Amino acid sequence: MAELSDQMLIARATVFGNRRAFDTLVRRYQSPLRRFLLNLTGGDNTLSDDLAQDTFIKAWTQLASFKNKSSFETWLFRIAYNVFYDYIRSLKESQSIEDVEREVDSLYHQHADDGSVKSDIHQALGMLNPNERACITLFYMEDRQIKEIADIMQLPEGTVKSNLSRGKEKMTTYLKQNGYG
Amino acid sequence: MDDDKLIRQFMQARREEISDSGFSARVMRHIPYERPFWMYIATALILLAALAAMFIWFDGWSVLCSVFVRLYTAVAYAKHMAFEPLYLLVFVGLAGWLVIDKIKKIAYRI
Repeated sequence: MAELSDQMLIARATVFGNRRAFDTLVRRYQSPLRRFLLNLTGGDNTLSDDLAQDTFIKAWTQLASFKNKSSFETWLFRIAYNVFYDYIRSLKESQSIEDVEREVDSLYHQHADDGSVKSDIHQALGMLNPNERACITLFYMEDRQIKEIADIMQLPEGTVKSNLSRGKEKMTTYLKQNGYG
Repeated sequence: MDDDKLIRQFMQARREEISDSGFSARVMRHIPYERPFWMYIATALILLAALAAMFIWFDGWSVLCSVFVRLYTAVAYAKHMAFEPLYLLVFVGLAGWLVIDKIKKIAYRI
């Protein structure tokens, strides 16, 4: 089953309710998805794994709505991004964008201050705001195109480009100041 | 070094493959069991077709007729033997319910 394309596996899972086909998809995409969520949560393994699990469960229940307009991986990342923000909103009563962004940042830095040794990547990403962080992670680590990032984050391509540009500037400054350049 | 290259190099050097370590199995344990709606219809249709085929194959009408004749005779005989036909009806009803229940269980397994 390993050689089967995503489309074939999705068709089997949707039409026949084939769980083994879906299991293959989970195994195929668990690593990039968990890595993406790990970078969004500032390296919180437990939380990112819980969110990744919720993402796959949501993907299974909504599989019939996958229209093949984007790749399955991009669709999964979009669900993961929404699951992450749903989690953030569940922590805060207020739903304003500023509050949510503040909560994302606090969650990101909270893990940094819990006494664990934080890896340099999370320190570097910690310099960015949540949108810049997601854009930089998707573009430089997950090798996503700008159009795909816009699709995942449900933002206009222009906004993604400006987030990338600002994030790049901050990251470069941080890296050069810390002897990476 | 070019800024873009610097960031890409930094990020790619920290890009790790995360080993599954039971994650997929855990996810699959939490996936709700759902069968597509058409499968229920297909199961019912196949069951009906199988019953119809068996009915024709085993000459169901004559079997049914003989059952009714025997039943009628038994009831008529029971009148003379002071046998209460209500008991027979209860028995037939119970047996029917058991058979339907069994068919439902088999259909669920399919």
